[in-house]
Parts: sequence; structure tokens; C-alpha cells
Amino acid sequence: MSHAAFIGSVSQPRRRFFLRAGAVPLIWPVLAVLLYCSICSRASAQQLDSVFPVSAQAGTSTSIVFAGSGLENLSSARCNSPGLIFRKTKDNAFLVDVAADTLPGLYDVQTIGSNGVSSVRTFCVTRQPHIVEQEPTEPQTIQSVALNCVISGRITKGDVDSYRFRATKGDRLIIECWADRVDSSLRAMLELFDNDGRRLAVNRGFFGVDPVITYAIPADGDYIVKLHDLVYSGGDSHFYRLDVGTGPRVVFSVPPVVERGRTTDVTLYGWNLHTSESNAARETGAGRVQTASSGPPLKGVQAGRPLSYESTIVPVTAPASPTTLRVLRSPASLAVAGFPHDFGRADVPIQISVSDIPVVLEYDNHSSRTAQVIEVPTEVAGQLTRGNERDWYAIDARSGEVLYFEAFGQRIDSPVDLDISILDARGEVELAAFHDDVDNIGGLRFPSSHLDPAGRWVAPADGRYMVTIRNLIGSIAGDPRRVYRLSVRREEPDADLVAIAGQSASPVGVNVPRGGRAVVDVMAFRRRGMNRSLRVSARNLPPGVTCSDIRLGPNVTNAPLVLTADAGADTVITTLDLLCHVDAGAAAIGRPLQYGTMIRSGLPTGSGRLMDELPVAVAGNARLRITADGHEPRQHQLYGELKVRHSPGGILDVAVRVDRIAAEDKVSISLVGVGLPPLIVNQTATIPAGRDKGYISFYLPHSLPVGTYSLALRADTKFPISGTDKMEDVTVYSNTVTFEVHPPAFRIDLDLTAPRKIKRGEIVKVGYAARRMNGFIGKIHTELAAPGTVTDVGRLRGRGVSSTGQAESGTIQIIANEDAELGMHPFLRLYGVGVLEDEALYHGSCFLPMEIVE
Amino acid sequence: MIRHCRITLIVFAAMSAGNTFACAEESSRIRFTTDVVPVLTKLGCNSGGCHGKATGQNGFKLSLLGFEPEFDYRAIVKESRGRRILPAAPERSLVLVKATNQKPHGGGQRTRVGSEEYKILRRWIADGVVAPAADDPVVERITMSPREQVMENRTSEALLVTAHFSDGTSRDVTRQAVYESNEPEIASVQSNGLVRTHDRTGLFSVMVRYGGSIATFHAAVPLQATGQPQSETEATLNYLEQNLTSPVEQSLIRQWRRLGITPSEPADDATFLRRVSVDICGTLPTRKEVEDYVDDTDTEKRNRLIDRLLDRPEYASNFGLKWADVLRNRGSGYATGKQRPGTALFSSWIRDSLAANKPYDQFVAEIITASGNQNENPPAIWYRQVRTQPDYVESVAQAFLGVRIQCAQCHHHPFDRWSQADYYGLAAVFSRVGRKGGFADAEVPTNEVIYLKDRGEVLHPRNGRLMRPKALGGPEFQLTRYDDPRRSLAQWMVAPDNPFFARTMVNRTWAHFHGRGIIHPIDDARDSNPPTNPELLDALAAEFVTSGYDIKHLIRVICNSYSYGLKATPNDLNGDDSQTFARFYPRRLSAEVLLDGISQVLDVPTQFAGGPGSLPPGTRAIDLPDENVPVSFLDVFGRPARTSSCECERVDAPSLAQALTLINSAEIQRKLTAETGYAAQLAANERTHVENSTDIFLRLLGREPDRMELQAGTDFLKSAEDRGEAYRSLLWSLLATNEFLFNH
Repeated sequence: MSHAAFIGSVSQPRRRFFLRAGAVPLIWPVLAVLLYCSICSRASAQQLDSVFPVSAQAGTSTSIVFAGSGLENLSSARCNSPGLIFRKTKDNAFLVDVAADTLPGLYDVQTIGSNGVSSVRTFCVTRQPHIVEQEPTEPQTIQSVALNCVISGRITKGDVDSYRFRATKGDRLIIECWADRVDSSLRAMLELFDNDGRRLAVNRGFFGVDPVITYAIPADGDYIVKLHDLVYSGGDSHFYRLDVGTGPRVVFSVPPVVERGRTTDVTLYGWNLHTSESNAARETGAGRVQTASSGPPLKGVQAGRPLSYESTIVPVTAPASPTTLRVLRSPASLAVAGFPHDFGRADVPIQISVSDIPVVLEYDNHSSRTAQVIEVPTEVAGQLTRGNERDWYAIDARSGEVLYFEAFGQRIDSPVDLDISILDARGEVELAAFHDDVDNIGGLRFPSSHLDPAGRWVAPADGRYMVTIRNLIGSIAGDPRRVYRLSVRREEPDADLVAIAGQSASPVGVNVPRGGRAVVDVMAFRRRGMNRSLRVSARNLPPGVTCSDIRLGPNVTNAPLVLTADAGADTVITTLDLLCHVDAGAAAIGRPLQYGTMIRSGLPTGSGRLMDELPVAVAGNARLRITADGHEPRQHQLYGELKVRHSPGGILDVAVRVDRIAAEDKVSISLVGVGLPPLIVNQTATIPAGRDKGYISFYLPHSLPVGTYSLALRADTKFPISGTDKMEDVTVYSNTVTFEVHPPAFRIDLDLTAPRKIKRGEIVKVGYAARRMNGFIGKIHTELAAPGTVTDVGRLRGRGVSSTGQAESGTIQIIANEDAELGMHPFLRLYGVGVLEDEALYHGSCFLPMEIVE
Repeated sequence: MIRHCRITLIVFAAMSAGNTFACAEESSRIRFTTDVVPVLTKLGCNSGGCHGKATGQNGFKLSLLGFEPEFDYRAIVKESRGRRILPAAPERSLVLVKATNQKPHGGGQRTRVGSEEYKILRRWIADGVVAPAADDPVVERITMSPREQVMENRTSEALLVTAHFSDGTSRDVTRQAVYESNEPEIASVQSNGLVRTHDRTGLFSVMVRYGGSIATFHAAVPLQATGQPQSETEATLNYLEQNLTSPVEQSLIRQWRRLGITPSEPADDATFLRRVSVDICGTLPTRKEVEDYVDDTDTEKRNRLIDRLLDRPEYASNFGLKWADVLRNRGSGYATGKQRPGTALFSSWIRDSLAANKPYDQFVAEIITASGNQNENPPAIWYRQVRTQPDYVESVAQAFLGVRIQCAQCHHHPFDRWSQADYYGLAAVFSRVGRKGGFADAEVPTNEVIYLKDRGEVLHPRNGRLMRPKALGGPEFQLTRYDDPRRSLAQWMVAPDNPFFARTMVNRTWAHFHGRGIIHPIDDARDSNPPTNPELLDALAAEFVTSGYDIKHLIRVICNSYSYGLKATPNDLNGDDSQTFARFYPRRLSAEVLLDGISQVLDVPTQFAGGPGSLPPGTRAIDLPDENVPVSFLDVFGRPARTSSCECERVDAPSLAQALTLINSAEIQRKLTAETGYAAQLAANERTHVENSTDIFLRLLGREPDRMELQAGTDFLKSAEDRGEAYRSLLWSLLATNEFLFNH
């Protein structure tokens, strides 16, 4: 693996914020006052559903209201921009002061209250004057607004919002609705009417499902824009931002990617770009902004009389250090490094990608005869404007050379479904084809699958090969927005990791109760053959908060990371600062993780997105704490205390200690594994009421690759609600259990004919096979065992068997006492120890499903 | 005299041909494909109701209408241990004793011993049941003489059918052919090809089938002028011919002249206004519109009216509803809350396309080739309901080509030229339609991504041959592995010389305005169901293509046509006519238009339960996103379930439920009794009963009441004690009249 490739950007400490983000340095005691959480003995999830209005103009103060569930005793709010400062006015109402130099774009806002930090919602900062929708007092009243403004509004069920504005002949009007892109549930539909009620234009989706209308105003007069939900749904979460103006709007760029460290001339395409020419020159200071129409005007895709695209060439250099996103980025775009680019006085930045390999532009390459020759490694930036267009490239490869092809389309917001084919030199015989990368490791909470193709290819012989890329959803209409990146490079393993607030079916923030724990889900998007173990560690944690390193074993993509707060930890909010490490020779390379959030749950609207940072709050007090130990020594009657050594074909016993902080032991606790490596089957266990220790065991299958893994446990129980006779569900998580899996010395397999039942007082014989592996030739001693005990298991007794030499099978006699507890004995197993020079070094087990019956 | 000679010649020719056949029968061997199978067809043995049906009959199955001779040979000779054939004693063969009913036969006696058919079958058996051979001649085509004819009532015409074989020979097969009249009330046909006309006049055709080939005889039975002098008809038609010069009008006039029909009088302004408002916008004219139009003296006012109506949003809604039916924008049976965004998006896209007057070729091509996420690309939602091989083929053929090809899925189309190769060739066009993503609803996934799959193949079900994508009746497409066959199909469809595409659309549109297609049913074009006026169809299609598939232009042409402006009242010279548009054919308002009309005249909108949101007040039935908005009134009056692309799903037949709904409907009752409704306004105003009655008639029927109506109305109103109840009753009565319920 290339160190440089993995490092990507220089790891930097994450920023921490307080209530006045960025404006005040970290002062832990301040938070104690602001959070006002010490009075809270139990924290329920804060879910922020909406911030209304959703926009504010830079340099102004705007009244906003937060809505959601669990938003109790809000004290403040936070944002990933230091330019936004929130001041509480009443209940959930705040004033937000937006600094004048705050760049336009989308920011993340979370509330802070007695329940800690909430889930996240988008807040927009604009340069245009901002107006809040006024609900009409009369049904037919239409709110008048000035042209060139941003409106924040909300749609209720059956609602149709209308705005009247005056425009002048020749105005090049752009009306853009932001809903899905600002975390709203609104599926907006836009209509433009003249003052006589004649509909001039309509749109139901341009930027994804968010609509845009562009229109050349034919005559001076009043015009009306109407907005409603596609199915007339509505509610608090159906808010929107509506831009009505004539300013510049960049839609896409060619190339959509620039090479890191180089200044590249990028052609921006959009509307009204020329009108902002002078502004652009002044803003960039480069003095070489060119305005060019690259060929005839591109035809737009709107019905009616839309504006044509204009183009402008600007020099673009990727920033040296990470910047605030300010644009919506989907979970799938995790692997797309990029930065927001502002054009002149445009109110909306666009995302431009960064590549660490040379970038070239496609030229006329629409047939195999005119294939464009590219070197390896190269990233090509191209366009598939026509529906059935194909671009052809030629590469020279040596026999056995391993190349990795990856295309970016959907992940850079291009309306394409790309497909890559590799063909022989004549372009006739297809040698390989790469389709969608549908692996959705984020599930419904952070959907990460996408339509972009990627794949590995080994050149069969020295020679030239053709590569063609095409769009599978081209239909018949052309669309110049169909840009793509095609990366051809060696197979350099890489991974992008992201952390999101964990284990909840709805959007939540990360809140660690004092004396308790909180879980963060870590997901690894492995690319280009990356299959090694990854280690994730936290740094710059506040005092009293700890977090053990976790391991994602070979090819593992998900693991839980657990934050633990001491009982006396200060109330605090910080941002999580996680690093990923991969063994790379002598040194471990670290790279910061990215962060994400769940936006909506369920189908079909379940969604998530990336965000700049993941805030963590210490809030409330835990009532229950469980501690897991995956390395508890075993007492063996023959070999004494045995250290645990895990290997495939063994059993991982996790001992669980329960600390009931709010003493309540009348209810049992259910245990289940969380974040298990995919090959390990989950189990459940119960710690009966009145006990403070239990076990849960997981079989490590033979196919589990050697490596180090982490998992955690979830404990579910019920606590009484004070002052009532009712109970409430309580869920807590254990610390992470990290365990190393070594190569096995032997494996034990139960005989297929072994009995599955035993009567009280009965003796049965259980046959098994013990196969030695990896050169082990020592003795294998097999006993009946259960978590924490060997041989005498819950009034079942086994008669141990030793096998030496080449003996690979045996039989254990099991005796059930007359008073043996009926039913299945949890996690009963045949347990073998491998003995080398009289020292029991190796372990191997298999579960023994045995039911005790009358 | 001339006619007499012609019949003589035909008889002579038939006799000669008969002799030829007799000679051939004597001298040549009987061939299974060209001799035996036609006999089985003639006798009805291989018909769909007998052994030709999919499951056969009593264990004996033949291919439908004999399109698979090899299969039939095996069935007759090989199956059941050969018990159906007895070469040693041919007359004791089961096929003969059953057909002659000498042994009990479920199908009864199909022929008699010694008949011509009997002799052929017997001789084939006696000759050793010779199997069909690869080099056997096959029927290439059949011809007919005469091909078309003008006939008088109660006359007959003998048809002569000649089969032309692949070996270059031909012979008279008049007696072996099968005949079917499409208008039995006008003319019937005997099994020997003798056509007899009856008392009714009009156009008819006779389909002739022999050996898998079809030919059609077209004929007209002109009206025999009874009371009106012939010269008057001629004078009328001459006048029209001189003043109406467009190809469309000329073709209509020629047809009327041919059939001796005199068109009805032109409709008055008020009638035309109501008619065209309903047909274009699905909306009744208001009183002001009626008065303004009637008072308008501009000679171009009809043109301007049509243009005005086409510019109204209701035009897009009305036709959007029609296309949503055809395109199966269906929400029923599924979790409405999840499906509705899709149906709303698709119906909106249809309406927008119509409002923007998107060229029809582009409209269809965008649907056929639709790709991408259904959440973002509305025409791709067509693929939500159209998702199986039969859906693809039959929806495209029926909706855009006007062809019902369903039969060819299992066997050769019995009344048309379509074979299974045609069916599966068209199916292959869609073999690479891929679906991914989305989520499964109760029955149908939604939010799928429609894309071009890498691979996909369709095999011929009978011979297992890999089918290459091809147009219906057209060539195989020349494609590379990366080409989307749907693009080729779309290009073929929208080509100006396509034989189906433009004609289907103009026929569909003509039928919308005239109540009957030039080809009827509108989506069943075939040789055996010819257009009643081919010239008219061709003229309209040519106009449509030349205009760039401009739908509004097509509507202007049709609405400005002389036939569309005629009265619905028949005269003595067109009373029988139901084919030539010599008068306006009245039909009931569609369910949505009727409900909206009632809402409009009573000034009380219908409250629709939209789900998941709330449809805003004032939403009209023609604007509903799909058919799954629960309104029992609409279901009773024939709202279709959109399970197929056939417009025939929309039922306009009367029913008891409709009558009961008009009497008992809670919705109508609500509208009549609403506090702010029209009835309440009438009750509360201070105008006279005469003024109010006039207003009621103008509002409901688009005309002023005549003297008797006014008198009756005011008498009734005066007689009632409760003014409100009186007006409600009067309104209710008028709502139930045919004049209100029908577009006329």
C-alpha cells in the first residue's frame, strides 16, 4: 500500500467547539453551566427535526426556532462554522448571529440541552437578503417579495405557498428550491406564473429531486412563483429555502476534478455567469478570469423557456488543508476528496474533486478508432452529453500487470449510471466489465451504495487495450451535466473510514452519560484490494472520557467504537477526533476519519450524509454500566489457570460485569453482540435478576481470517420510572472487546450423530473429531465445558479424553445428574486444549447443543 | 347489364377453377399442409373453441387454426398410439367417424360422408397419411376477387379465393376457405364465399382465411334514398365539396357520396361550445362563456374558441387523464403513501408534456427509452407497471401502434399476420431493460433505477431460437452490444413512414372527439378490421406527420372538421350511419368530467382524500394523481383500474348503479344542500323564477330554456312551498337528464 495514498491529507487535531463555535477557546467549566445537565439523571435522545427558518443572511441576526423530540431545556446550539453564534431568546427560540464574512453554503447545526447534543440539521447561509414566509391571513393573499432574495418557508398539508415579485424584461430569472438538500422531507414542485395566471414554467426536480426554474423574463410585470409538495404532504419537517434571483448560479464544472497541488483552468457551466464577471475577477484576485462560450450555447433541459448554460473559465487550486464542506455530500461520496468552490458573488458553492494522480481532459474519442491514449496512472475527466454516447480510451499494459479502474459519476452529483468495459486492441472482444458498487455497509442509516463502477483487472498479455465508458441511463435526451471521472491506476489499497452516531434507528447525537458509555459506528470503505486489519483510535478526548482503540479485522467494514465517561467527568461538548491506522512496515500510518450522520429513517426516504465533524457531549448520569472482558482466564482441573488464546474454531467467551449505579437488580438483563465481524454468528444471553455477572459466547468459525477484531455488547433491561409503577426500556453498551485471532493448532468438530438430548440420570457418549493443523503434533485433551467452568457444568459432568499422536477422534461420556436443570444449557461446548511439552497453549472448541430432558 | 356480366364472369371463373381443382385432386397427392389443414380449419376442428384451444379438447389438441402443421400431424397420426387414423380402412378412422358424428362427438357433425372435405381427409389417409415435407409447397398468399364492391341491400356477391403456392402454382380454394363478416347486420357470408347483404346500410368487410393467409373483401351498402330526392343529397354534397377543400373534408365527403349519405345539419353555437369544451377541456362552459360565444359574430370564432381551449390548463388535465389510463399510471392495490409520489410525478409529467405541446413522437420516445431513477425521471415510472415481457410487448403494441398482439404470445394471431416471431422479436427489444434499487412495496417495487443491462435474451418458445430485437412487422435492428434496442424501436416508430404510429394516434384522437375511431376499436388495427375511411385516416396521419407530430394541431384539424360540427340528431339519410361520421355520435360524459361538471354547476367542489397529503380544496377529478383516490362516484361511472393499455377499460355503458347513484348519491346530496352552493344561492336570491330558470339552463345545459321548459320550470317552482327545496329538486332533475349526462 502506498503511504502517501493512505495518508491523503495530513492528520490534524479536530476542532472543538463550545456554544459559540470557534469564537471561544475550550473551557470545560463553561459547558457545565450551559448544558445544565447535572440535574438530569437519565438522558433521552434529542432529535432535531427542523431549524426554522432554514436560512439566514450573512451579517444579520435572525430569529430561529428548533423543533424535534427530546429538545428539553435547550441552552444553546452549535455549528461547524465559527461565524454562527446562537443566543437563546425563549424555550426553543434563538437568535442566530451570522458573521458578515461567513461564506455562503450549508452548515450543520445541533442543539444543546439537558439531554446533551442533538442530531444534526442543515442551516443555510446566504449573501442575498433573507425573507421568512408569512402565512397569509386571507387564502388568496400572495406575499410580495423583492427579486434577488432567499425565502425560508414551510409547507403544511395541502398547502401551496405563493410569492409575487416584480421582474423586468430581459431579467434572467433563476428560482431554486432547496428541500432534500437541506434535510427537509418536502418533495417540492415549483411553478412560475405571470400575473394573468398563465403558467410559464414548471419543474419537479433538477438537483436530484429539488426543482429549479430558469426563465428569461419577456416583459416587465409581476410574476408569481408557487411551491407545494408533490403529494400535498406537509408538516414541521417540510421546510424549504427558495432562491428567487438573477445572480450567477454554477451548475457543474469541466473538469469536475483537479490534481492536488496544481492550478487548473476549470470551465464552470451555469446561468448568469457572465453578469458576475467583474465580481468574479475581483473575488478571485487572479486577474485572469476568462469568459468564454465554449462552442454554441448548450441546450438546457427545462421545459418552457429555460436559460441556456453559459460557461466561464476560472483557475482553480485545491486548498492545502481541509475546509468546511458547505455543500451536501452523500454517504457514497466518502471516497471523493473535494472542496467547495465559490464563483464570484454566486450564493451557492459547487464541489470540485481532488485527485492525487494526473488529470487529463477527454477529447473527441467516441469510437474505438479515435480512442484517446492515456498513461497509467491517469484520471480522465469527461462528459457523456448524449444519451448513447461512449468514450473510448486506449492503454498499454504489460502481461500480469494489475490495474484498478474506478469511475465517479453519481458520487460527484452527475446524473449518470456509469459502466466500464475493457476490450481488446480492436475494441471488439470484451475482456472485463465493471458495474455498480452496490455494497451498502451503512445500511438504512447511512446508505452508501451507489451506481459508480470499480474493479480490478489483470492484463493477460503485453499490448494495447481499449477502455470504454458509457452511461446506462442516458435515455434520448442530452444533458451536459453528465460529467465523469475515470481513474486508471495501479492497485494501491486504500480505505476511507467514517464514524456516525451509533446504534439508533433514528437520528441522534453522541451523548456519553457520566459513568456510562456511548457507541459510535465506524465504517471502513475499503478500496483497491485493501483487506488488512485497521486500527481506529481516539485522541484529544476531554478529561474523564476514555476510548479504547478498536480493530477492524481483515475485510471487516463495521465495528463499534465505545466512549466511556467517568462518573465524575465534567459536562462537556467536544468533537470526536479519530484516527485510522494501518500497519505499513515499521510505522503505523494515521489518517483522520470522516464523519457522517443519519438524516431520516426508513424507506423510501431513509438517508444520511457526511458532515465536517461529530460532536460528542458528556451529559446525564448512567444508571447501569456493563463491562465486558473477552480474556478472562479459564480454570482447568488438569492445567490450572489457562490464558485465553483465540483462534478459528474456538469460542470467544465474554464475561460481563454489571454495575447497577441506580441500584435496581430485580430485572434481568439481556445481552447481544454489536458490531460483530460478518463471519461470527450473533448470540443472546441473559443475566438473571439479582446477579451481577454473566457470559455471552461467540463461535469463531474456521473461515475467520487471522487478525484482530473488536466487538461490543448491548444490554437491554427495564428500569422503573420514578414516581410510577411503570417500567421503561433501558439500553446500554459495554466497552469494546478486542481480541486477536491466531492460527489454529487444531479444530474440534462434533460427530454428526452425537446425541442432542440427555435425560436426567442418563449417560450419553458424544463422539467428536480433533484434527491437528499447522504442524501441531501434541496432545489434545478434550473436556465438557461452559463459560467459566470446565468438566462439571451445571450438574452435567463430562469425562475428559486425551488423544495423542495421530489419533483424530474421541468420545466423551456425559452424565446428567438427577437434579440437572432441564432445558438447553447455554453455550455448552466440547473444549480442547492443545498441550505442548506439558503446557496447555492452544484452545479449540465447538458448541454442543444438548438439551436436558425428563 | 355490366353487373350481370361481372357475375357471369365470376361464376365462370369459379367453375373453371373448380374444374382445375378437381383435376388436381385426381392427379396429385393430397398434401397435409395445403390440403388437410385447411379442411380442419374449414370444419372448425382447430378453432379456439374446440381442439385448437390451449388445452385441446378431450385429449386431442391441434394448433390454433392450423398454424403449426407439424404439430397437427403428430397429434393426428402419432398421438394416442395412432388410434385416430386407420389407413387399412380409412373410412373407419376416428377423425372421420367423429367428424361425421358416426361416433359420439362433442363438436357434433362437422361434415357428412361423401362431402368434399370428407373425400380429402379420406384420400389422405388412404394414401398413407403422408407427412408434411420440407419441400412441400406452402401458401404464400391468397387473393380474392372481387376485393371491394358496392352492393345494394338484399343482394349477393360470390367471392372467388385463389391460393398462390410457393412452387408457383395457384388454385381456387373458395370452398376450402373460411369467411367472417365484421358487420353481420349489414352482410353475412356463407361457407362457400357467397356474401349476402341485408336491410341495413353501411360498410362491411369479410375476412377470408386459408392456410394461414388472410385476405379481406371490403364492401359498401349505400343508402337507398327513400323520401329525399337523390338530387338533394347530391346538391348538398356538391356544395360541401366545393367549399370544404382540405383532404380531411374531401375524404369525408367522398365517403358520404359513396354511401349516399347526407350529413346532418351543423350544430348550433351553444351545442358546439358545450361539445368542444367537454371534449378538449373536460369542462362545461360557464354561462358567461355561452353568452359570449353565442353573441360573437366573428366568422373565425370556432377557431379562436378551439385555440383558447387548447391553451387552458384543463386541456392538459383532460388529456393527461386519458393518457394516464393508457400508460397505466396505477396506484391501486399498493401502499398508496409510497406509490403516490410516483403516480403524481408521472401524471404531472404527462400533463406538462401536453400543456407544452411536446411533439407526440418525442413524448412516446421519452417513455419507451426512459431510464434512470423513477424518483427523478418521471417517464421511467411507466416501467413500474409495465414490467414483464407481455407487458412490454402488449403495452407498446396496443398503446402506440394500435395493434392487439396478445394472441401471438402463444400462437399465430388468428385474425392478423402476427406470428410468435413477431411477438418475441418485439419482446427482445426490452430484454435488456434492467432494474435496480428501489424498495419493494406490497406488490410492485418503486423508486427503481431503469437501466440498460449488459445482457438479456428472449428465446422463441417453440423452437428455442434466440430472438433478435425487431420492429413489429419491420426489420431486425442492427445493434452493437452497447446499443439500447429501445432507441432503435423508438426511431422506427416515429419515422414518418411508419405504418402504425401516426395512424394510431390520429385514430385515437379522432375517436376521442367523434366517439368512434376510423378503425374501431381504436387499438385493434388489422387487415380484418379495416378503417371505415382509409382516405380519411391517411389524410389525418399525413397532416399529423407533416405538422411535426403536433398534437394541438391535430386537435384543431379534427375539431374544425365539418363532421365534428354536425348535429347529433340524425336525418332520414343517415339514421343507420354509425361509421362515417355523418352526424355527431353522442356519448355519456366520462366519470371524472361528470363529477367535475356537477361540482361546477352546483358550485361545490368535491373533497378528495389524497393521502399521504391532503389534496388542496378545489382539486378537480381530472387532476387526480391516479385512479386510487377513493371516490365511489367515479368507480360507478366507469373509472378504469388501469390494468391494461386499452381505452376500453373505461366503461361508458349504463348501469343500475349509475341510476341509483344519481338518485341516492350522498355526494350529490351534499352538493345540492351545501350552504354556499348554487342551490342555496338560488333560494336566497331575489330574482324571479324565470330569471333563475334561465340561469339554471344556461349553467347546466349551456343553452336557454325553450318556452315549454321555462313554463314547466316556473310552474314547478311556484307550486313548491319551500323555495330551497324547489330549486334543489329542479337542479337534481336536470342533472339526471341525458342532455346533461351526455356530450352531444
